Amino acid sequence: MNKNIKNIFMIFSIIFIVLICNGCWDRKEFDDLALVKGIAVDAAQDPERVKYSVQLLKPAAKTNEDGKKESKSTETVSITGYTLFEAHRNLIKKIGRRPFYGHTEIIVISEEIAKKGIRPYLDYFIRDKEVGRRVNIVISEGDAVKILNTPHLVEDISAAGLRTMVDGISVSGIIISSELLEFKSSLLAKYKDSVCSKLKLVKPEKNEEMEDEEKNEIVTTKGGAFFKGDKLISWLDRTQTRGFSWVKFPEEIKGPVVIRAPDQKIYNRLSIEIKKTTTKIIPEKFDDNFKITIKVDTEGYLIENLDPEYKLDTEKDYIQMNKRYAQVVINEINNILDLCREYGVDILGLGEAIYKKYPKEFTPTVSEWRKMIKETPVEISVTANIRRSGMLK
Amino acid sequence: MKTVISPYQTTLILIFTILATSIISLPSLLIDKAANDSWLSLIIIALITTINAFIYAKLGQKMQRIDLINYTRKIFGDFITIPIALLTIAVFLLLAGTVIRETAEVMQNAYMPMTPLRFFNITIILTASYIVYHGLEVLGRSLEVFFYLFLAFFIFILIVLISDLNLSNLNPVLANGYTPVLKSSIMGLTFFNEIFLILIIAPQITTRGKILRPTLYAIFISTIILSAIIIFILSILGSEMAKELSFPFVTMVSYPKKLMVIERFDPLFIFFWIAGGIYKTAIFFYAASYTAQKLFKKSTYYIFIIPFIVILFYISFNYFQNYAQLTAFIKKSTPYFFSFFLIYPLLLLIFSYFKKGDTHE
Repeated sequence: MNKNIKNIFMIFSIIFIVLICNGCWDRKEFDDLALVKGIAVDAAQDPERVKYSVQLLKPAAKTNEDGKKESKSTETVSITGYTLFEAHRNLIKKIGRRPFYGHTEIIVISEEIAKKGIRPYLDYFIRDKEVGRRVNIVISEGDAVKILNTPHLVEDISAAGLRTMVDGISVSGIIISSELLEFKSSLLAKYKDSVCSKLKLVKPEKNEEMEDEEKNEIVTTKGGAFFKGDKLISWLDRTQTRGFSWVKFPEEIKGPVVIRAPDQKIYNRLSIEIKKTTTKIIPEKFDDNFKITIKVDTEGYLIENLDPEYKLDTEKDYIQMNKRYAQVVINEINNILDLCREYGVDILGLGEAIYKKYPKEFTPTVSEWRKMIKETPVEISVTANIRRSGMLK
Repeated sequence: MKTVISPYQTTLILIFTILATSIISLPSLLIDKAANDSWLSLIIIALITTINAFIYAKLGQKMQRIDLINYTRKIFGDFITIPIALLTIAVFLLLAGTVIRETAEVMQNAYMPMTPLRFFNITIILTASYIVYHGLEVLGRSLEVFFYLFLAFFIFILIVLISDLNLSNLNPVLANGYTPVLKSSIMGLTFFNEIFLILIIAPQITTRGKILRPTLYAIFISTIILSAIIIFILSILGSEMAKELSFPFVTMVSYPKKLMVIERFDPLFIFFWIAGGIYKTAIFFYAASYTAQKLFKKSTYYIFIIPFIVILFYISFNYFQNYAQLTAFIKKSTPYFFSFFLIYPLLLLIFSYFKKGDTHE
């Protein structure tokens, strides 16, 4: 009996100690923190400095009786510094609280900075453990802070909205999604160039009913940014991004493939929803040169048919459709290959694939390989299959 | 004072001797040079250690009930035993000191930058000395519980990381030939060769003299766990990224996608890391105290605990100025530690054959 009481006392004292002794000198009181949701890095006017902006959650965003927000729930604060850390410490001048990065959703880096070389600006975020390893990283066309400042259409906190947009890769394959650590490790890879998500401000289309003041700019994402080494070169357009996704993230493409029906009319397009795709990059060696085969195996089903007269009825129709489906995929992959050859970048990781198979034979320097990629023959073979056609024939 | 531990507990003690800190240091040490082939150098290390294990087992058979220091005394005489025993104590204290510093350094670097290093050092040393005060039996028994907690943590982390696995990162195998693999395996030898400890605790195992089996089990299990960690680090982060990171395993632990409501898995790691560090310190602390007890022919080792605490605090706090010095020490000291762990038992074994006639008289 006595022993039981002693044990219970022990357990309670352990729980008590655990509850009060958390963090020692590193405890963080919630009241002293300013929660950061998004970070933007821009070039400052002084070329040696950077402009560092954070989107902070307002602790007391008021709501009035109608349920409408009286004030914004976030506030974006900008400051400059010679390094990111200096700028971070300078923030205290404006906000008084210590910024806390544990809930950061997105890091937006401006085009101008990325063109000078992005790697130095990633160091701080990875060296410090507070920022999550899976934070999305995005290049903005134009100023980064403007992207953070623009209210999102659906989400209250625009940084969170931006993140969901960039994560949309799994819906259509025309968006590139990149995470902090993954992006850094792709920058470090030898025979491979990196790609990154891209965000852009656009004016909404003209609408008669809207007043002029209401035509606020909105943020959209489309395509991606590609790098040579750690320097931003240019942007990928819609089909190039799709071509890229076919090779690098085949499992992410669920989006529509739109093909034309055999008889050439105006409204005769068909949409195919992709079910499953697998891609293999197969390098081969002949004489002293290398040849690459990109093998795509994709299947999907018919989801929409705009041609009322055309039916997927017989086996012959399926064969015909499959051919067209495969051709669309080949065209899209060719788009990205053309871009690789034009700029001499290897964003598909073809060099890496060769190096992994022939480490002894494949020994060009990186710049040599960038020239070689223009001549390296690439064969694309696509097996496309439409499996079924839904409730309609 | 007769403490006895079972072979099973011996295995656990040895596993912790190898694993507790090497779980972080060894992968980064190996990946630095061997890159994609680090798992190969790990296997080479394990093979070399197995040879050592056989030597220790042979010696253990000879020693039977006598402990290492008294056996040395019997073979070499008093005059040689004293410096050797002092060296053994110094080796164990140095190892314990580096373990404490490593544990504290990772905690401070990754999780608690504001907390003073002294605080970590003191808490680890005091907890370890409490374990040492209670002796080997308590150590072995508590490990019986703790080892499975550790295993559960380890398997859990690997399972949540499985979706990020990209095994093609392990290619190409042996791109730069065997040289970097062998070079890096030499640097990592200390961690496995710490199983020298089996000779200190050998007379207290229930199956006296039969120490081969627990040693081999310990080497085998540690190799499996460590190679799983190395393969996960390489295939998730890639060798280029892993080379850049101070503690690839810590980064890997904070990498998983969020699992329902659990977003960060770091507390699990901190739990293992601190506890593992304390146990490993306690093991070496105990070995040093026990050796001292036998050297000075005392009935208990309690009087050595206080002075050793002071020495450990000095080694763990003042001996190294920064983390780079610590890793440099681990790398540079390896040949000395290895030769000590190999040559001392080997000489003892060889001379024991010559002395055979004398002992029977």
